[in-house]
Amino acid sequence: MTVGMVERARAGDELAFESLVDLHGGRCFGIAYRILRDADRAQDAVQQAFLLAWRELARLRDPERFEVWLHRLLVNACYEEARQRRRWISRVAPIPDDGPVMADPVVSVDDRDALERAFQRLTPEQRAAFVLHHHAGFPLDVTAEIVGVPVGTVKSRIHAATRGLRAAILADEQIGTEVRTA
Amino acid sequence: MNQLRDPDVIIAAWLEDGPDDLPAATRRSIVVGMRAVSRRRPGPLPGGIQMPSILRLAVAAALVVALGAITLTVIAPRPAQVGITGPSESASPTAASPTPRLIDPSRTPSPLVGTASTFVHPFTYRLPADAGLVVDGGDPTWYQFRVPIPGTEHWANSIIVRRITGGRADPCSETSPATLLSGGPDAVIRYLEHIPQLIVTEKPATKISGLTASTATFTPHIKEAACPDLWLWAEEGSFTQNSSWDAIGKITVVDVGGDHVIFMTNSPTVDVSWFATAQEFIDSVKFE
Repeated sequence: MTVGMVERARAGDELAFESLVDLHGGRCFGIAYRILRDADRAQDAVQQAFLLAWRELARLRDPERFEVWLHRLLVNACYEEARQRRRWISRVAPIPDDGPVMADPVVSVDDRDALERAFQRLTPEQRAAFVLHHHAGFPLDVTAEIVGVPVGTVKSRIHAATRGLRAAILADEQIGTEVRTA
Repeated sequence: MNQLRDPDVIIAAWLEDGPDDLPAATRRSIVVGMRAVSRRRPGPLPGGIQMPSILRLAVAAALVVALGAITLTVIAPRPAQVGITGPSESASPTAASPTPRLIDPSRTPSPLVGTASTFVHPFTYRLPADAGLVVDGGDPTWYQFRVPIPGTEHWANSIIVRRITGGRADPCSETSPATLLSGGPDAVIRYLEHIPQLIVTEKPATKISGLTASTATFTPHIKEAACPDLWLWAEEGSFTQNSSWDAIGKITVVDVGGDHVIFMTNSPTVDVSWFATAQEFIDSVKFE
């Protein structure tokens, strides 16, 4: 189904491209949000990726490669967003005010806080590899193709990200224990 | 109570917690934006997706054959053209000529070999046939090869050759202090990559006059109030004022005698075929 839509969109069919936006947009937004941890910047990245895809689609020779290609454009757009340091500084992530936060049986507020801080310390490249593999479920070889590096480099980035996040949880637990025993 | 907790379970749960639906406003922005975007014709892909090696070999072989055909066409003597006035001898190919001709800036027949003799690093070049380029030279740091739009004072596609001394700390500000770009031609590409308002999409390395050169294609993001124009270089001139926010640019950087020399190929109308023509020009450049 996607291949047919890609072929029609490549020929200039706007409705077919809108169908591709509907089909892939949610997943792309989810990935961008998890890489950037900011809904506004994730929206910008998704918009940028789809507009670039629309502009360049005629040059995609193999429609079956559309998904990998689109995700590559998305990841590049996320890198661009992540590098806009001025916006990093000026934009403060607001706390949602649409009702009380449901208690999560697994992730405590402290865990969440520690993980967010640890994730921000990762490079955009580490975040992208981690999210594409662990959240989007892309195999390592496809993740490598999307981010444009060898599989070994992807493994290294995912390992570094995992190590950083685990350390944040363990450090948080240690602090909690020290506070309780003080 | 001191429960043993698995960090990986916590991380997985945290990672899954987030939106997975495209906001309606973003979908609308994409659909509206599509109408304003000029679509590209078939050609190299952005994002640098690799071709299979067999396909690459086939493309390389085809390029060799095409280059051979072009070379034969250029070197072989041409029959006299009938019924066409204008430059005759000067319009004939001079690739084999031992002495490059000087260029008349107001009227540049092509193909033709010329010399940028007043440039800080003099070079010879060969104008592609029928490219319609007009040479505007004489400045030691800036040579322009541009295609005039008939009946106007404006220009369409262009190649600008410049010696640059650096970038800008804030490319959105005309009065921003300059920044040094040390570290070879790649330093210039890295500088462009870190400008938030630019999307840098391709970086195939190449050679100019036997020197390793770095290249990239780039396009500006949508214009924002906070960044009305882009001043990329320490030297005067705004990229978006001289070209446009919709333009696609290609930059080739080569270090000559310790200086960054850049070839900026601009196409305000996003004419993909122009990049091939411009590349033919750049490939012909020989620094003296």
